[in-house]
Amino acid sequence: MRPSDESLIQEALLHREAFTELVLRYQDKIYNLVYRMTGDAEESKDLVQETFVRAFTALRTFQQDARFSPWLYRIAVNQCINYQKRRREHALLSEDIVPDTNSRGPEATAEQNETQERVQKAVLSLPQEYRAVILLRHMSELSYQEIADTLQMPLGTVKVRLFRAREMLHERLVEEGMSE
Amino acid sequence: MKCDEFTELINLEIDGLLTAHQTEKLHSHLHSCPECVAKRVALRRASRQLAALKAVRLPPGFHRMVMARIEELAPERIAHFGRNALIGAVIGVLGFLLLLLPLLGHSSTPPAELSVSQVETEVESDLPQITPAVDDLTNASVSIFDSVLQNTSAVRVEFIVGTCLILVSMWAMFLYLIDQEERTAAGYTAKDRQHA
Repeated sequence: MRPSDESLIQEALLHREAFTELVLRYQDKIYNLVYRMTGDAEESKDLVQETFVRAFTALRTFQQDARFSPWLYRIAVNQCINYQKRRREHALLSEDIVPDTNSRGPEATAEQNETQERVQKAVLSLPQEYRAVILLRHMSELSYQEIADTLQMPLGTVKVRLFRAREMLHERLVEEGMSE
Repeated sequence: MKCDEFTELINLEIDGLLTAHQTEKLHSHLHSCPECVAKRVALRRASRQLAALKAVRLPPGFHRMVMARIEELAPERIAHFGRNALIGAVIGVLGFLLLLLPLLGHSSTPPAELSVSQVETEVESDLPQITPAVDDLTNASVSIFDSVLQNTSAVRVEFIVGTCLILVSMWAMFLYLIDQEERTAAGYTAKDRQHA
């Protein structure tokens, strides 16, 4: 039987090798979320790495009655928010504002799919708080409650933001010529 | 119900969270509301397009890079715990010295005893004037008593502070040892110390 996340955490507190299993279990899920949040494949790899390192160092503070995945997603989302903030500050300082979609890694070039590119561009154009909610729902497939736990906001706010995010995404896709 | 309220039902339907009753209510509304039909189509399409984004995958061996970064953290933490153990040891030594101080003080002649002998000498030499001498003796006894009291309370404070410091030190050492045990079990130690 596959050990639960919580038992792996207990194990990882004594034997750090046990944390490898948690990394393997979540690395691609976190990478997909971070990549869609930032649009930068290479930077996303660093952010994923940083997410796991931070999770490991904070493992002792993890509340055992809480679930691991929302906690891990929260660290990842915070990493993305900090990254965007740094980018904005850097862009303001250098007065060279480059759209997120221009920084492409091997994954983005491999996509070679205009539809994918446009959808990604539409997602990146959403305000961050809406982007996080809609990606956690559709990419990470979290429930409303899990999204609320991850982003530490009331369930009602999650619903309002998700519904609004869908409408905004539709509007952006229309602008991209992807929808009517 | 207004169309705005059906927007929530459309979203719940996309997420597969509609009850049978809500589904029936939504569908009967859609029959008579082309605006909501258009919105439903648009939101469903946007959600589908988002969900259709290709999953990206990390290169093989990525987890090893993560674990290598975590390995790099270990020496710092060990150094941190080592420093705490050193501080604990210093506190312990201070506490021990505080406990020893009163003992070192007793090895020389206590001021209280000196006072007694001085008073005795005074009394012997002034035997005829017994009454004043008795008064002197009484005063001296009071001062001896005060002195002993002062000494006792000072010793007591030193003892309490010293004991507290030693207890704090022992607790720090205990935490350090527990952490070391965990680390030994987790495979930190020799290799990490080399790095440190």
